[in-house]
Amino acid sequence: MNKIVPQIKLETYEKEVFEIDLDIAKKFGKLVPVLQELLNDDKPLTIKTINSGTLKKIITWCTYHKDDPLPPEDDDNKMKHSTEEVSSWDDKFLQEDGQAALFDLISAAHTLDIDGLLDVACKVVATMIKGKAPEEIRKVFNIKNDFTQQEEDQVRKENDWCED
Amino acid sequence: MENFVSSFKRTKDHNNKSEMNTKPVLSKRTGTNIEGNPSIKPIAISSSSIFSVKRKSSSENNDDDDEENDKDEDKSSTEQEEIDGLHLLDLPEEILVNILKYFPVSDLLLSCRKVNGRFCSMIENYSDLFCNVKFDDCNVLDETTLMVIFKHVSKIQILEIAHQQIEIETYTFDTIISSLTYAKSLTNLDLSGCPLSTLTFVPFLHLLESLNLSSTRIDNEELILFLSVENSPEPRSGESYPLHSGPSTSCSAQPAFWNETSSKILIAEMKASEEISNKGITKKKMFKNITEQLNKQGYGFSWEQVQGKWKTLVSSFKRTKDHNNKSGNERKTCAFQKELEQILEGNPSIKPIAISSSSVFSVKRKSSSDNDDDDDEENDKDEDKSSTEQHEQDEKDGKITINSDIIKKARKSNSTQMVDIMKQYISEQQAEKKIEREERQKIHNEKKYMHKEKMNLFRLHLLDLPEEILVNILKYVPESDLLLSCRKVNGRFCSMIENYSDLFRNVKFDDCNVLDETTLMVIFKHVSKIEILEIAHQQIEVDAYTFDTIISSLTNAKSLTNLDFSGCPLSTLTFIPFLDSLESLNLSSTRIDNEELKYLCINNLKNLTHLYLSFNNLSMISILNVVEKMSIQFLDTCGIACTFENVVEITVLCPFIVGLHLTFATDADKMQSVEFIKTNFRDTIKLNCM
Repeated sequence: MNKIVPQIKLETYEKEVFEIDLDIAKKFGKLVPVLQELLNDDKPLTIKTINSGTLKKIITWCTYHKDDPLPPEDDDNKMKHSTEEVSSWDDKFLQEDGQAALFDLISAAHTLDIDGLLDVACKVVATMIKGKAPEEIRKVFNIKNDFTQQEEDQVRKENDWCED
Repeated sequence: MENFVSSFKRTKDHNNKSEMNTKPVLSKRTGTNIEGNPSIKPIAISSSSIFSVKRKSSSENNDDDDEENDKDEDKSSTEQEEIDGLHLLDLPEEILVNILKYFPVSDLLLSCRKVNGRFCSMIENYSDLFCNVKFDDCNVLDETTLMVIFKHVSKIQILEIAHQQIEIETYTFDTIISSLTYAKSLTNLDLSGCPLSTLTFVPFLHLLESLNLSSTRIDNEELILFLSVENSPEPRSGESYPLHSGPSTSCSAQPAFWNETSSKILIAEMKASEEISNKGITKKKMFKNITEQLNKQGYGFSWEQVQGKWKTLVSSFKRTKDHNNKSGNERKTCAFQKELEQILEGNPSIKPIAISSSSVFSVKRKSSSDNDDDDDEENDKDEDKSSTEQHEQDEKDGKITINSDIIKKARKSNSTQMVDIMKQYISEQQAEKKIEREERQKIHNEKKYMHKEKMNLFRLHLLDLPEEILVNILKYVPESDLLLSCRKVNGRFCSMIENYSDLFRNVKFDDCNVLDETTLMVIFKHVSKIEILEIAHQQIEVDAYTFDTIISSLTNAKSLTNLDFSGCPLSTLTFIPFLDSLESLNLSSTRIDNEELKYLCINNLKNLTHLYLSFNNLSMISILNVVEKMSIQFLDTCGIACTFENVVEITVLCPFIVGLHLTFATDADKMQSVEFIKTNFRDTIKLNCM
């Protein structure tokens, strides 16, 4: 039974071809319906929205979490505010390349429909937002304040009340 | 203003020159101090730039010269000093008034007054500003403007509102005009073309010398009645009452009004005089001659009047010319343009006046004698002047290359040498500028590169992510953060948070936060999805009435299981019957009463197991009435006096009770109850006493 591990081929934005084990590819929700097709086809599937670095990371993550139990199907019952459950490995892994890489990863996880990774990454971003003042959040994510002066005044007024 | 400005400039130029002649080094430094700021010059030229002038920091030389510099500076322009550092409106009021004094009253009234409240009140309150009220062109005078003029009527000496567009009706005009009775210092009054119909004020104008009532609406009656009143002023020699109906022959005094004929005579006479004026006749004498000529034709002018008329003609001509010189302006003509052109165009000395102060030098030069030495000196001065200007340029660029020796040499050399030096200097200057530009470009490129790198680092922005991902992220952010800070980060965030009900399942606030009306509105907008709502002990920034109104939307909160309103300004419980899924209800420290509590019984809240009613103005009896219809497991009635009988009743009415939190009326009740629970419900009920 020493069969060669079946692999599928994915081509990234940089035209780099990755060979991915079927076990890991199964985690890519988007690919599940076409997996059999891909296995038979020798031509790689091109995913232009994902760059090599990001795909590499996704593969690493999926490999690490290969043996994780499947998340409960019922999405609605998924408890919120459980950001604590992000493992330290995940936290470190996701944040080590900076914000842009993290967003790339989220975007890719969304494209490929990798629920586990998407959730974890979202939790990490949520942790960045949690417990911060609006100004801090703007600074952390380099977000422009696009409120009009009137709205800004409203906010300031609220803050004035705070100080009273 | 023009006078003021040009005199100031003349002083400055004079000082520049003398410094140049005596001490080039000093002048260079002074240049640094005074002239260093290229924006100072424009003050002198146009009054409008006063508003924005900010002085550059003075140079940092520590020499003895410094003191002298300061003196020079003081001497040359104390006023400038004051203007420099300060904002125009920072100046003391008296100085401002002083400045305003130099403005023509027409400007004060028609534009300055509308600049700023302070200006307006100053203009309206300082009567001294209104000595000479004249309007040249056809301006629009509205009621307010007229009111301002006539408010200061007692100080006005010359009032000419002839042929203005007066935007009020005759009656109002007459009313306003009536205050002319106080115009005790009025000498010239020109109301020609005004909707004037009464002359009641004329008898009060004791000092009146000239009165123009052309093209008004007065009739014979008015004229006879008021111009011949007993108290009317003794007509002076030059006085006249011109009427539009033409010079009345019955009038003994000769008319002294300006019509076309008289003006033409004046211009012709002026032309004749101009031609001979080089022969050393004073202006006064010239005008006196012309007046004589005019009066020979049957008019009764004084020479001052003639001079005034001439000035008016010249200024209106000048204004027309300036206007026409500006491209894009519609062409205008003024009265007697042709005639005036002949005189004024040919005369070089008129032009500089027209262009004003900036050409002092050229005028001087033209008028100077043919003396060679003298000429040379003038030249020198000019050169020095231009080198100072170069200097200014220099200062602007932040470096000094020319040294005092060059100036010194320049001063004593002839013009060709000077030109050479200047050329050399300019080429040096250009080379240096080039180097500087290259340097700047380099820095700019570096910055650009760094910026690019930074941009690469943040290639994908948080907000670039698709909305569903963002919502997914926000799902993991506690609702309190969403409401209190995320919502204020950015418009996109705000709208997302306010529109995705899914984000709000578990609304809990930990610390004491400020909840304003908007925040509460956002919360209760999503009330149908909320499962846990705990706004306990928050600082709620709305009044009880508004709170009750907002809260009323809780009737839609079908999925609500936990509700904690403790410490809220809650006074009604009307929504409670609709909360079918409610499991835990905390109403501690609210404003509900026994009456409101009855809402708890209306619908059978069969899921409700935890009820907190502590520290309310309630009675144990009404609470027991409520709980008997529920399957309560935990009851908190702290702060409400409870007796032993109540405890027994509770154990009967609530078979599922496992926890009690009570405050007893007396110690005896407490002892009895504890004993009772211990013996009968040792394992089931946990009693907590306060």
